[in-house]
Amino acid sequence: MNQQILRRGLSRESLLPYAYILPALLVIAGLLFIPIVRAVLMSLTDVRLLSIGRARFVGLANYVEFFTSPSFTRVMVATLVYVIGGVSLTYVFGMFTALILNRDFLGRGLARTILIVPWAVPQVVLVIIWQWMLNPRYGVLNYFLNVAGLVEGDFSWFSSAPTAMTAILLATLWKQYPLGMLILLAGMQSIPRELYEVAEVDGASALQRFRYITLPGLRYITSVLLLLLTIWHFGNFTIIWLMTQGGPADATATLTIFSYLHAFKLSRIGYGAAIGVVILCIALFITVLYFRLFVRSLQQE
Amino acid sequence: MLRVLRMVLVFSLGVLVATLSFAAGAQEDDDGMEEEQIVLRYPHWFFGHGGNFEEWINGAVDAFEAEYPNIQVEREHVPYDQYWEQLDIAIASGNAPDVAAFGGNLAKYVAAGALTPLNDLIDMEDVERNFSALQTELIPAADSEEGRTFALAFDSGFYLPLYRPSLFEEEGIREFPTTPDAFVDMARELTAGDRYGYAFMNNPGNYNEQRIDLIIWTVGLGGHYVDRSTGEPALDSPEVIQAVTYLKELHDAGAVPRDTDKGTYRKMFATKNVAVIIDGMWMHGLAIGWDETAAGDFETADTPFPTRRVPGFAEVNAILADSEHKEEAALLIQYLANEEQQRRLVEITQLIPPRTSVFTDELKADLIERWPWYERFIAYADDAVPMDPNEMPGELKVEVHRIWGKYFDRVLFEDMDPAEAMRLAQEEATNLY
Repeated sequence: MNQQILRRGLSRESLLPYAYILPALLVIAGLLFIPIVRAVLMSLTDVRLLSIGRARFVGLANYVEFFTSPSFTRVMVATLVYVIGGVSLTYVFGMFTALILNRDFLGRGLARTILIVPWAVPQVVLVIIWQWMLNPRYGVLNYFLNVAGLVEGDFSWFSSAPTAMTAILLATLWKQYPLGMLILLAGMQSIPRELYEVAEVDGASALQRFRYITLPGLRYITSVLLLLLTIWHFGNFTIIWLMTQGGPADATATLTIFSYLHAFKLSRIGYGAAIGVVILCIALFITVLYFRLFVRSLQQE
Repeated sequence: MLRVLRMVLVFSLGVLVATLSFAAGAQEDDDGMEEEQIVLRYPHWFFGHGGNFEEWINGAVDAFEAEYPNIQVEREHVPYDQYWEQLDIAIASGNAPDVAAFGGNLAKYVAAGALTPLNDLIDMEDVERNFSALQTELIPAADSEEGRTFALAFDSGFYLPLYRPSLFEEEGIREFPTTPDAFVDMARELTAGDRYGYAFMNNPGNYNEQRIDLIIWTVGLGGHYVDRSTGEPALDSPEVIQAVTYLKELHDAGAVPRDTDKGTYRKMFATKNVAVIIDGMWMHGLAIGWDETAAGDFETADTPFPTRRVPGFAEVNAILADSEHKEEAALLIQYLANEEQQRRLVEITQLIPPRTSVFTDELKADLIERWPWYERFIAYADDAVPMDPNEMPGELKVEVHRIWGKYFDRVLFEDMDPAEAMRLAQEEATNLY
C-alpha cells in the first residue's frame, strides 16, 4: 500500500511541475542564495581584497565594529532620510503628475512623453547634469536662486549635510518620479469612470472624489509601488556616489555607500560584507513588515 | 571559370598562411630558431591620458618593443580614478597584469604579497648608485620586514606654489608672500569677480585628493601626518592642526572655489580664474594645453611656509607576483628608467627623473633656459620628503586618509574646532592599529 502511494507520488506527472521550476530554482540559487551565504561567511572573517586566501575567522567582530563605529549614527540617519525622503517625494510627485495626465487636455500624449524622459536618462548622465545645474558659480539653478534672493554668493549645495542630502533627493526624484507616475496612472485608468460620474451627480467635490474614489482605488497599486521604491532607494548607489561619495563627513553615506566604500575603496571585504548583511536584514524586515501591514489586509478585503 | 577558381584558391591559401604565421606569434631569429613572442600586460593611467604623459610613455614603450622585438607590451589604459579599484580586483581574481604602476600605496601591495622582489631581477648596483633617495630609501621601506626593493621609480615630483604674474600685477602685489598668514591675505586680495585667489581640493568626500593639500601644508609647516619613527598616525600634531586651520580660513574667506574638483580648478588656473595653486611641475604643460596664454604668464614661488620642506612622491613600476614573464617584465621596467627614457621624461613632462645621474648640470641649464620657472623646482629637489611615508602599514594608509578627510570635512562644513576634530581623527585612526 505504502509502496503504491510512494510510486504514485513519484510518478512522472507529479514530478513534472518540479522539473519545470528546476531551471528557475537553479538560477535563483546560483544568483541569490550562494552569494548571500558567501557574504555571510565573509562577514565573519577579516578578508581583504588582496588577500582573499588568507582570511581569518573573526566571529562577530565586524558587526561589533560597525555598530560601535563613530560613523554608525550618521550612516543610519543618512539611510533613513534618503529612503523615507526619496520614497515620499517620488510617491507624492508621481501622484501629482499622474493626476494631471489622467485628465483630458490638448497635448496630453506629448506631455506624457516629455514627463517620462528622465526615467530613460542613465544615472551617470543625470548626475553630471545636476552637478552642473548646482555648481556654485555657473549652475543655472544657483543663478535663479540667486536672482530670487534665496541664496547668497557662490552657494555650495555639497558643503553641508542638509543641502547635500537635498541635492541628492532632488536628483533622485527627477530620476524616479516617472516610475511612480506611470504605475499610478495605470492604476487610475483602471478605476471605473462610472464611480466618478455618480459621485459628481451626488455633488462630490474634486477633493472628495480623490479622497473616496481615487485613493482607495489605488491601494493595491500603492502598496506594490511603495515596496518597489523602498527597495530601490535602499540599494541605490550611483546617484549618491557620483554626487558626494558619501560626504561631507559621511552625512550622505547610506548603508550601500558605506559598504562599497569599505569593501572596494578600503579593500576590507569582510567588513563591507558585514554591512551588506545588515542591509539585507533591514530589507527583509521591511518586506515582512510590508506584507503583514499591506498585502495581508488587502487579501482579507 | 577554372582560372577564376584557381585564383581564389591561391588567394585564400595566401591569406591562410599569413594569418597562421601572425596568429602563431612566433618569429625566427638569425639562426632560424623560433623565438617565443611574449606579451606583457601593462596597465597605466598615462596611456590614454593625453598630452605629455601619453607622449612620453608611448614613445618609451615603442622604443622598448623595437629593441626587444620578441616582447610585445599590451598597453592597458585605465583612468586614474578607476585604476586602483580595477587593479585590486584583477589581482584578487587571479587576473593580475605582468607589470603595473604604483604610487604612495606600494606598501599595501607588498604586504599582500602581490609583488615580486626585484633584488635578483634588476641591476641593484645601478639603482643604489644612480637613483634619488625616493627610490633608495622610500621604496625599500615598503617592505617593513626585510627592506627588499619591490619597485623601480620611473618619475618623481613635488609641489610648489605656481601663480599667474599678470594677476599679481593687476592687483598691485609685488612679492609672493613668505608666511602662511600673508598667503591667506594674498588669496583674499586676489579674489574678485570671477576669480579666486587660491584653490585646494575641498570636494566633500574626496579624501584621496584632499589629503594632498593637507600634506602640502602640514609638511611645509614642519610636520607630517605619520610619525615616521613608529609608523603611527600623527593627526593631532600641532602642524596638522595648523594646516587644517589655515585651509579653513581660506575656505571661509571665500578665496577658494567650492564643489570644484581638481581637474576643474587646474583648468581655472590655466584660464586665470584661479591666481595661485600649489601643484607640481607638470602643471605648466597642462596649463598650456588648455590655454596657450599661460606660456608666458606662469611662475613658481618659494613656499610661504616656515620650512623649505615639500612633499615628494615617486611613481614606480613593479612586477606582479603571478607574472609568468618576470625577466621580460624586469627588462621593461628598467628600460623605462634608463638614461635615455629618463631624459625624455623630464624634457617632455618636466617631471623629475628619479635617476639623478641624468640630471646633469648641462641638462639643468638647458631646461632652465627653456623654462625659467623650472629653476625653483630644481632648487627644491633635495628638500622633498616622502608624501606618504612607507613606515605606515600599507593596508591602513588609505583608511587613515579617509578618516583625516572625514574630520577635515567636519571642520570645513560643520565648523568643528580644528583641534577637537583632529583629536577625534587621531583617536579613530589609532584604533585601526
